[in-house]
Amino acid sequence: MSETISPIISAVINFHGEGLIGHKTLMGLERLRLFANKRNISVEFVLVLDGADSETTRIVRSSPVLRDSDKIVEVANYDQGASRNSGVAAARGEYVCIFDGDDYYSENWLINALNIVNSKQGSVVVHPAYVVCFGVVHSIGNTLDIDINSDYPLSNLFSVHPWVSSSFATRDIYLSHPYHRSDSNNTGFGFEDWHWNLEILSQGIRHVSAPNTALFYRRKKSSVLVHHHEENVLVRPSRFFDAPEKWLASEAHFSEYACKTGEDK
Amino acid sequence: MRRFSFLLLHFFWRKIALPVMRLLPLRRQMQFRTLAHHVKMTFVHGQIIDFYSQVFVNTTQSCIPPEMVLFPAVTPVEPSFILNKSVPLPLIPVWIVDELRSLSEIEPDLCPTPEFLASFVSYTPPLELGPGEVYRECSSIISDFNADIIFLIPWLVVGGADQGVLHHVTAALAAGKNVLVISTIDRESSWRKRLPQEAKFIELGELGRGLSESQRLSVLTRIVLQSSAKIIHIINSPLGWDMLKQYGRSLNAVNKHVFASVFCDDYDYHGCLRSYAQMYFVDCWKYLDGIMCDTQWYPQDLKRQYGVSLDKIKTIYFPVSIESTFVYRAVSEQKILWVGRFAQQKRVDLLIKIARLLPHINFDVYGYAVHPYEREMEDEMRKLGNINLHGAFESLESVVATNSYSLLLYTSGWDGLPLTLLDATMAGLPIVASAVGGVPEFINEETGYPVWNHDSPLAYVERINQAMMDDVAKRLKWDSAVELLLARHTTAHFTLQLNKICGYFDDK
Repeated sequence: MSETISPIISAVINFHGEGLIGHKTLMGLERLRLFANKRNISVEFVLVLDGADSETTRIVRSSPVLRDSDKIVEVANYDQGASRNSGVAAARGEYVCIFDGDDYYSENWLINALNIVNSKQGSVVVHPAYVVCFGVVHSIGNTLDIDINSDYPLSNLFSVHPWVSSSFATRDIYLSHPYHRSDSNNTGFGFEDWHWNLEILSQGIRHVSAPNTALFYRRKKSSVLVHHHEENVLVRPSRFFDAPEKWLASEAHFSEYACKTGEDK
Repeated sequence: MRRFSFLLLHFFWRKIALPVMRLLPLRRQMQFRTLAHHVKMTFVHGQIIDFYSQVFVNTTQSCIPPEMVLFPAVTPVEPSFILNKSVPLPLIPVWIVDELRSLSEIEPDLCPTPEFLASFVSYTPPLELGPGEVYRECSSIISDFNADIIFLIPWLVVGGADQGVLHHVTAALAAGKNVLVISTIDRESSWRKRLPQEAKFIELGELGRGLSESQRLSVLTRIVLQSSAKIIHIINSPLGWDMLKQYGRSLNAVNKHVFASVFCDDYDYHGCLRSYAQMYFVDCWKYLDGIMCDTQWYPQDLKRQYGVSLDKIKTIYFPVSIESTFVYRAVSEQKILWVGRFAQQKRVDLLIKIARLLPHINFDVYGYAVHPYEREMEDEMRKLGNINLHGAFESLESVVATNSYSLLLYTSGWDGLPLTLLDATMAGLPIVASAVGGVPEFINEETGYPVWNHDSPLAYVERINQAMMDDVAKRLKWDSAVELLLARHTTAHFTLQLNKICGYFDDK
């Protein structure tokens, strides 16, 4: 399929030391691209090599799924958030989807997310409806859809992160709300996705989910997330925590939260 | 009808159920809310858990063919927030099984064998509302207040360190700072009324009563991180120290400058040394901008014990409130004043021995017992005819003014520079005191009667007799003590010393 026109969706994928897993990840993501292409939706891959080791770099650069229109961005951020920003900056799509370099997704993820963004009123960030963990943990759960669960007690977000790093939204949302650097070893701040999701919410952008979509999340014995939990890593200061009076767990209150967004816009 | 029912329920929930629930303890509130949430999710949103479904587990290891649907197809479950469950249910929708099958061509580990599918448990993010609710409550106290400095204290009750907190708060306010005080232990702060009104006060210990220690820590840390305050001053708050230990690098990363006051070591009832320095210096030293002590002795002792640099440690003598002229109130009568808690540190055992050695002298004792050991000491004192117990006191000045004492006896086994000595001097009494810790910096041969052999009752008896025998010398020593007080323990001197601390009031 020819992709001479600008892509509609840019898939930003971070790599650092995935090695051979990176090959499988790209094969998995190609399923999503083919699914989208069949529906006349073009997708570009923006592959961010963040201080990637030589094996990962080789895997990515020689991947059989690469197309001429895909981009490879080499950076030395050594930071997930900063590298996502690098990928977004290089992306040409009207929509951006954030991926990690070692997970899989249901093939309809991009298309269903796109439909959700276009069908919802106001600004939204979309997550896969299901998270299927495999590897050292086997579990299945749902991400929080704030439109469906409008009475979800937002005070719970103080202690619990009900979303995932994978997200889909218009590119301008990622440009106007860049991820923060973590530099967790020096600052003790981490959970950049939790922070980003809270920041997004505090700006009145709703987190919703795309029905019948799934993230297949590879749970490893040792991961950045595990490291963050072990090392007393904190979510950095966020505007979400500046306005806890908006957290009241009632439908009416979240409506107020959402309405404010409308006004802001 | 359905709309009406909904409105009725909504009205009941907001106007009746919620207000009533807010009267309950936080944990109980959360339990009822969780219950209500499940009722709503079940009856309004139609979510159910099929407890009767069985999971068919095939023993074969092979990948199931597409036509074999071992798990009954289910409508994808909408997000719910029930607590985590591990149940053998048709957890995995059939379309996800299909996806797994398709993905297994890339990742064979995802092949949806019955064993693989049966190994899945349901996960929903837990409900942990307490910390967020307490944080929200604390934030409502602060509201739009832009704090410049936060004091972390255990509580605000009758005591020397608490008096010190009030001095620090007053000095910060005088320096034009917006002050936030956070007490971290669950105990009523009887002295909160003494806190200047301009200062905001959060009683986190009480508000967070229903939280675990780690949850309280998360709330405190978040308050500090989100605050505009650049200066954090820990004064005897264990939670404050824990925060620095666990999250010091994060505090430093957002330019919080952390100071701490330490006064002296303590010993537990086993005789083991316990102090904030001992518990936290090793982990926290690198995060601290400065340490404040109220003696010159303790910095030297800290250097001896921990090898710390004195550059970071400043001696800030506490002031006394000098509101009236000094009046010498000591008399020649054989009556001695002793004040303090009956803690092991205060050496009530020595007082009892001294009283036995001086049966012709009456001892008025103001203090109270908390622990069993202290009550034991209290009982011992009651057996002596020349010790009169009076309980706790509100003001040392009024105790001295309404009685006739010859001197104040201070028998502490270890100490910094207790404010009691400064207060007693202000109240007009000369002092016989154990020469421990920082005490000799105030009570020396010129200003009083230091007892160098402070374990010996006879040494105290000797100094008491010496004081009793020479009224003129006793008066002269008191005059010198007053002189020292005026030179070194004024508010102006205290403020001046604080202003000299780099990055404290000047916000580097």
